[in-house]
Amino acid sequence: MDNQRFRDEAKRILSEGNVRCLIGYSKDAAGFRVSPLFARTEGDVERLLFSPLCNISLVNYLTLEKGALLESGARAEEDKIAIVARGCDSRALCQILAEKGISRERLIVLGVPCPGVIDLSRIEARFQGRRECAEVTEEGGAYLVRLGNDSYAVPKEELLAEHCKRCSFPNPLVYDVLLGEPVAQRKPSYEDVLAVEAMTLEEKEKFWKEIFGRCLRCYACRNACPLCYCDECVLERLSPQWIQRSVNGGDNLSFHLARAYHLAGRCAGCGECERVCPVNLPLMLLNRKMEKDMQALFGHTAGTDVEQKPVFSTFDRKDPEDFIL
Amino acid sequence: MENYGLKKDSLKEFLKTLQDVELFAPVRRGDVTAFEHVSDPEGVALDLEHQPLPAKKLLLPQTEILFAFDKKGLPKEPDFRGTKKKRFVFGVRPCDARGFGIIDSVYEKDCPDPYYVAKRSNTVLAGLQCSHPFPNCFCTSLGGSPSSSEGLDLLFFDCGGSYLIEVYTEKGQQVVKEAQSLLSSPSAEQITEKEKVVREAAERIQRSLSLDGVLRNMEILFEDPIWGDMARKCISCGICTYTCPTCYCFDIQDEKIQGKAKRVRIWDSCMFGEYTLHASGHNPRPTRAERLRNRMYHKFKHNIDLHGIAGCVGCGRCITLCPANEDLIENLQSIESAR
Amino acid sequence: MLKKFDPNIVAFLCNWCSYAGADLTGTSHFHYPENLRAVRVMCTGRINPLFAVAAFRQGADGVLISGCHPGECHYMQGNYLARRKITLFRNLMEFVGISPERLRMSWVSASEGKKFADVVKEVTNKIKELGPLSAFEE
Repeated sequence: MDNQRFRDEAKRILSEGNVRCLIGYSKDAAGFRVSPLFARTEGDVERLLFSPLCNISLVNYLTLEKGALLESGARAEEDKIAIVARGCDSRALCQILAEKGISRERLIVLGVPCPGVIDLSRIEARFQGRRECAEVTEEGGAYLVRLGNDSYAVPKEELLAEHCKRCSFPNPLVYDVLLGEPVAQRKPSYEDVLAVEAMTLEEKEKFWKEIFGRCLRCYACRNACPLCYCDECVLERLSPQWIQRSVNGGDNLSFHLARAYHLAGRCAGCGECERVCPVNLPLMLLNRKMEKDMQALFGHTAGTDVEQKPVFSTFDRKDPEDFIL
Repeated sequence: MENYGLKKDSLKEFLKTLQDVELFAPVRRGDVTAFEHVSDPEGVALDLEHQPLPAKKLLLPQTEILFAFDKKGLPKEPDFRGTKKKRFVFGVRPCDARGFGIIDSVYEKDCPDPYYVAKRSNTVLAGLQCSHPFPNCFCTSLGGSPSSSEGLDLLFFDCGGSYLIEVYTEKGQQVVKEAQSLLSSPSAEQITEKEKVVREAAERIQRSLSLDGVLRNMEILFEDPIWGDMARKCISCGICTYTCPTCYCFDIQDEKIQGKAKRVRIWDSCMFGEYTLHASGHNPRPTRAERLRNRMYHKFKHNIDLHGIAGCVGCGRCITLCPANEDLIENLQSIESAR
Repeated sequence: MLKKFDPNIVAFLCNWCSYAGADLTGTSHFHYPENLRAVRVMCTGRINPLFAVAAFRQGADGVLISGCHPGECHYMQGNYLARRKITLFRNLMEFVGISPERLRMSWVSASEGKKFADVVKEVTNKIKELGPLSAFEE
């Protein structure tokens, strides 16, 4: 994508006067990390960039702190927020809009057709110990990595984030400005989910027991998720208490079942939950299972239509009921 | 101080000679290395490539039963079941061992915590010198080093084909006595190799900072907007606090299953929104700005004022694992240069 | 000697149909296994599958949700919404290794006293077959 055009657009948008800030990415001083940038001034805009290193979902910041940004139903003449959104981010936005969690009038969306982003742990492992400020671009099927005076070409497959390999929504659906040409879209496929479904019940139980046994209950998955924005989260409520605070197999299982269910039909597939997890839990398996079933059972796909009603507040007379006595 | 040589091949043998102790060591769990109870030393994974999660949970469990009760009433005694057994923790990094010292200053001094104190006195800490510090390590800036023996009963130095073991305490000496047949006096080559490994480890530390300006500036920066800027990308999760070797905050909950209840002490995080939520609904730290400010002040001002030492050992896990790439060293540097 | 497995089953029954139906079961002297604890809700549509999770964590080996027949819901659509949620949640349970047969659903009207007894017998026998639920233990 053309970073200069991006910055020019950003300058134009910020100069419109009623835009509170533009949420984008900036490169951290060392290594391969990027940070969210809440740009307000021309100086800030100069630091904006978009590259294959931009692996954080910015949409999360729209709903992260209560009262901070954009409750729904706000008056249109108030401040706007501009935001950079990749395909998955735009899908998350679309879902939040469908749920009336954000006012569309207060958003200016800079959509970025996204060919996928890099898995930070992979590139940090590949270039262990390198602290120069990295510059990464995508050319052909490879990433060109510039570190100081050195240049490396690394095949895309080696560094591309796992969930980007499965992405079927690379092009933003909700946007005001589109930065870049649409990228090729692949059909959804669920080999990872099918592999777990193929296990016996005992194998599944053992598989997940080992996984949930690692969980630290740090809430990073919940906090990083753009679709987790309830004022009072059921996972931490104490009156009534649904999930105990103790960290053990049973309570961790309850936690993850509760979260997966609450995201069913809403998860936008951004993969942030897996990216942020300090103990590498394969949380997207649960969310993708739900996504697959939602499509198969109810013809519902999250984040594709701002007019779509939430899947559990509608029904079809012909919904399956062969399990009902 | 005593020192011994141990052939690398004999490490598992050595661990097997430990009588009557529960062995804890780093093990691989999926992609992550963490300290767990190991029933067979074959399971020990001295992973040099992945920084293990801290051993803090062995002395401060994430979920600790204070006492159990049911409809019949309260017990006469607290529940000390987790504190009885002798433990041997192998492979602790020097930074984590120093971390226990910081936790000691809270859990052993004015108000000794019986659960912690009992476990601490029953635990032997055997460290592994950091021959290859991790990319975000900065222990040397906080009074530590990859070869520090502070807080350790023994320290293993990797000298190629063998370990050189230094023993600092009576507790450590007791353990070593049982494995006498596997140990030898260290050779001159081993000692030279150890000195080389210590030197090289210190040179491999990539990051550093100075805390002088930080402490001075924190006196005047409390109301400064710097904290809002610093915290804007924080997502308010508990990763930094839970993976920190010196964080020790806890919450207490009563939990019941089918008529049997327990009062448990669980890890809490000052980064969580509800950390200072009052019963009235008022929250003196309502946003991430106040909470991040509090964390910085606790570790780099209050701890120094109260205990003479920063509440940080420079392990760098918070930097490596933060989902929003909050960089503690950069944050401290911006505090230092704010005035 | 092995202790025979006596399951704990929690049932969420809608006020207008199933709870009334269960009441009729009692007054008609139709017997059903005593493993069932009944919880009255106004409509199955208000049931969050978290109720089942909480029940399982508290020691239930099985959960039954029973409501009005399609088209007969006192609140028009509650039972249709419940049907969707429970379909999905059973799939999620199976995916994590918990038999979906531990979460059962039935349509029992206020006049179906005999049916309720039959449903409970069937569900209880199935849970006995499956054995105690261990996935939610500490």
